[in-house]
Amino acid sequence: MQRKILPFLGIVLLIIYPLWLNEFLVSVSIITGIYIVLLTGLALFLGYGGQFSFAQAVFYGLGAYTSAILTTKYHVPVIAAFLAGGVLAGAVGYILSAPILRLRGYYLAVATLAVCQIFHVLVVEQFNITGGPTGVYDIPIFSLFGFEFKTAISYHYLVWVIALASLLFAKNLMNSRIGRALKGIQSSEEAAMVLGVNAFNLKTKVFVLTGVTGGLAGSLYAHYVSYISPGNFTLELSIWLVVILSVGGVRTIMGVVLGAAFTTVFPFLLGKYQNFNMLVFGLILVLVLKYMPNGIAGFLEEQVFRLVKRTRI
Amino acid sequence: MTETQLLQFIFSGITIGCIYALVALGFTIIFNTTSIVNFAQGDFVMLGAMFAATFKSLFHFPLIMAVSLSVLSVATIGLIMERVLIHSLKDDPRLFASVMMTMGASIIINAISILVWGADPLSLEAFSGETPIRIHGATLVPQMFWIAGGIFLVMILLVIFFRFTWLGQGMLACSMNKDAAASMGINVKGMIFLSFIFSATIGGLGGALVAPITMATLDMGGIMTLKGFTAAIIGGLGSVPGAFLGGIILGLIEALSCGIISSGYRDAIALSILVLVLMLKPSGIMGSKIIRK
Repeated sequence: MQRKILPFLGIVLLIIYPLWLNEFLVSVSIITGIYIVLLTGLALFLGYGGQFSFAQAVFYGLGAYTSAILTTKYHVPVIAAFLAGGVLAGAVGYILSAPILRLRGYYLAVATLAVCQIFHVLVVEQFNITGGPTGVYDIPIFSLFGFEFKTAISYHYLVWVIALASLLFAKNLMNSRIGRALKGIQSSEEAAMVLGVNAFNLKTKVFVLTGVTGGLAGSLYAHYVSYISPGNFTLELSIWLVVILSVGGVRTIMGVVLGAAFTTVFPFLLGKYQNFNMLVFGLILVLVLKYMPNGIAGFLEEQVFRLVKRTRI
Repeated sequence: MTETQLLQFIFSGITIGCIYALVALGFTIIFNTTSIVNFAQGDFVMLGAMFAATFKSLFHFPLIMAVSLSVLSVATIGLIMERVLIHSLKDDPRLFASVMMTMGASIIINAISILVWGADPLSLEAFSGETPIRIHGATLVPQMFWIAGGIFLVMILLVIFFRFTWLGQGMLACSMNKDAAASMGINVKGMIFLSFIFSATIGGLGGALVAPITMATLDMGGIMTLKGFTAAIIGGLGSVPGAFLGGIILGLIEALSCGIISSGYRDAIALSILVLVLMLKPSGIMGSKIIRK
């Protein structure tokens, strides 16, 4: 009963609350939704695959650029360009996985790091395609079967529907055969392989998923801000995503949401003391790592669990 | 391309390569004891450069005093970082928390540095003049010899330390098997503590040595971490000669691809070669053991 009501209430809240927000807060909420899409795949790879990937900015950029170029240069309908962004990013993830996913740990980390830098250089240098450092501008707003998401509120709903769908997908995936196999890989790749799990195959699937979600997020971003440049898709972003995921908590859906919300809301929290932003953020990261090994979401879950247990007795 | 140009690119490649090698050596020491990759390693270099420039150019200390004070300050920061952040972490076989902790340290160090020094770069005059040395038409700055000398000194000391001293062997033992090392009477936590101080010292020295060439800037930390990590991986994570070789190779590739192809593609070419090395020999050029997870 409780399990059914809570998500329902959440969705009702999501539908109503944007109506009270001012323009600025709606935009914050939209970016949060985009970050959720961007982070879901990565969270699976990091939290359950147990591997660092610093390639997320690549997929984000691929999705954004594909969508932007298709709609501005070739006048492809936005929805087709949006899907193409996801597909292309997923395909690149698949191609990359063959050489890269054979590596583990730090070696995988540095290989993804390299891919991210190479992508950035290519985007800057191949200006015939990407517009180089100036980027792509005048990207059309999102439209679906003739309906244009002109107002921020309408786009807000679209982004959050996609964000919730990707969260739901991730959650169901974790409770499926693939999810259980992933957890197995994380505790011991060898043991999982002995039990018949094809670890490489599985990691490839998750990596492709990270690619697709990253690409879709990139496309959503491009059609929201209408201007993209190489500066949006840097290695710093990739590293930042891993950092905020570990603050939010990598192994729960809530962790992804918290991480996303944290990264968009945090810069405004300190108000006029913005100079201290990074210092405060660093301290929060360090404290979370020290006292909440499963991130803020993991910590909250434990507390709720404890509370529920106490009230039952 | 003429011979002179080629020689020039090789010179600048070796100079920058020596710097990468110093950072890579810092990675190696911490990795050898803890299996942690310290993402704040480049920030030690940045701090070394900033402190040296501050002491010399702002406070007008004599050179030797400025450099030793800067190395000492960075070593102290490494010490504080280990005590406060790493020391009390629970043992985590995946090292996730520890590695993220070093990222946290990097964020905090950068945040404090920008509050202390502001965003402007500081300069430090070259240790023995600016008159370039000419060899076959190519020029070499004298500071290069300081850097090369510094790295050779550090490397020889490290090889002796890890091969022939009880302390060095103890550090290596910690990285291979912490429990076994502890049961042989090695103070594992103590070794980890020492390794952070050592690598901060080396980072600080590297920073003080490169500051005359690159200037002391706050954003050099991230770049140094990236390049040093890459160099360490190319050479084989955990190997002292490997770190040196990896650094030089990376520097040379960068300089040559800058000269032959285009400066814009420099990073892409260097990193493509890195990926290629990883494909062919996943444990790096000098690496022997395959590191898992």
